[in-house]
Amino acid sequence: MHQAALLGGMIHDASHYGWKVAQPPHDWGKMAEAVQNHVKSLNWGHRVQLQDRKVKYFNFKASFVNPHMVCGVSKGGEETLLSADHIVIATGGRPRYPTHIEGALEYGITSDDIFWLKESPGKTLVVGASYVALECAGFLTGLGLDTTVMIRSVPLRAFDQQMASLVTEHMAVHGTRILRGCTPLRVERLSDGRLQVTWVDLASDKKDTGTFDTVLWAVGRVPETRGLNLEKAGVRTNPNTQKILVDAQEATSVPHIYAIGDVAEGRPELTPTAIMAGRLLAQRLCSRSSDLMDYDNVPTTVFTPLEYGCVGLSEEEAVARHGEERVEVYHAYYKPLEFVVPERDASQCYIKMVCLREPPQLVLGLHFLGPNAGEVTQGFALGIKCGASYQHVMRTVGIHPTCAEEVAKLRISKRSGLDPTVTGC
Amino acid sequence: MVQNIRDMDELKALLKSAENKLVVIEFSAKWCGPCKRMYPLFHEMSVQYRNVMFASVDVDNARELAQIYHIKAIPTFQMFKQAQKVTLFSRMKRTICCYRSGSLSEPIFELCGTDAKKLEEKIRELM
Repeated sequence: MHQAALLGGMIHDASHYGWKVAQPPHDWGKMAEAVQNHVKSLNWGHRVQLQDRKVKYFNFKASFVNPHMVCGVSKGGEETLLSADHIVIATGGRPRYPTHIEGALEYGITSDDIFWLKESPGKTLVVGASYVALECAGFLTGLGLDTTVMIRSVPLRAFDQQMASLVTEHMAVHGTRILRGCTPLRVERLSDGRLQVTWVDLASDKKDTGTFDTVLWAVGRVPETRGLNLEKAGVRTNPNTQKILVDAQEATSVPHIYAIGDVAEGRPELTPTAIMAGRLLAQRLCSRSSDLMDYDNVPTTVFTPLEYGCVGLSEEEAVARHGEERVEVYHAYYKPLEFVVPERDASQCYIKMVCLREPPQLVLGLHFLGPNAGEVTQGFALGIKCGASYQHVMRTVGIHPTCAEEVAKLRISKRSGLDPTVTGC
Repeated sequence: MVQNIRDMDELKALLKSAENKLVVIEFSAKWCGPCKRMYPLFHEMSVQYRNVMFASVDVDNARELAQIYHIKAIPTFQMFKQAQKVTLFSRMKRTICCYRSGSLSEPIFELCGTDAKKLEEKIRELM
């Protein structure tokens, strides 16, 4: 859906390049059908793969009976007992409904639902500050829908805050209404079927209301541990997060029971990370290897209208770990070439590289805000994994014309106080 | 006419009722774009070739059937015939043991994809 929104922007740009095209309307139903078909084909693909590898697939809802036995209940209600030498829990998480807000459950939807809507969500209020909230609000805006984001405190809390701020700044300039420091009190249904949301501005304590067609909750995720009867197995969880406590081997408090992915405590909530951890665990269980999962320097990208790719430490984390004196931050604003002809605003196109100050200046983190951030960040993640230093970066020739070359061209440090804005060639 | 098959019993009944006729079964799904493109062509063939039986299986509704016939990609077309000789070449990777009166439940030919021309050629050859 992010791609659908980006294409809308590109159709607009196209006229500047000579294409005689008027901005066409968007058909939500057609896009949703394409997305839904793709998801279903993925589910099919997974089932085929399991079959191929001769994995027995039980379509059951499972829970523990004791540390070695699991009870599986079929759709028809039949119970089957299964025991195994090793048990791996990978039940993931689900979006959280803020049940303390009146009407939240009855009238709101979550990210689970947005891709399955047959009709356009219309004027939408997205509550939350996570990447899910911002990505959804971003593509809804891009598709031409009236979109508001309500953020209680800070956007993208776990990310570099300077970058998070630029991300939301871009969204605000490009048509998303962002309400900072506000939290909803209740959601009610009006006689015409629309939703009325009442919220409070936490600083001024002033209340306000708004009318929307859809309210989307993106206020966090909860691990799927409630129905598992973990106590019967002796598997311990963090009482605050309800996530399963694991060690570096992905083992839980019970030696033969493991947990990977979003359900495990302290792990980045990312699919590729969970997949790799699962693969390495499988290798270890078959005694094929003793390699542990490396959870450091995991790259990721936030697919907001202006994308944010990052790998390694945020500036705050680097300073907290090493001290401001021992950290050097190189940065630059840049203008993607593709923004020039259509006269797009590049004010938030920015790159930041956090390094150790001591030569050879090991790269601790890279932050890239711009088009195709995922593609750009992936390659540099390999560099960081190999222990790239700023000296390596300086000796890496850029590919012209790209946005990625701006990473290799970073020369201005924050410490120098020099202006990092766009310069000539 | 294309008959919808939902499980193994219905498939066996269809094959039995076909007697000596060629049976062509399409494995498809509602979310599959190529399947949607093939369907009208498949339907046309069912109208044109009256001495051939045409059926379709929705792999989501008939999961067990899709599993038994090892359907990996869709659309997949499998052809069955109550033949005395089962040496007709097959691209199958495994055999279903059902050795009564000529391996009723084993396909004699399989085609994956949307090559309607190839499908029709094969039907004409085997019918």
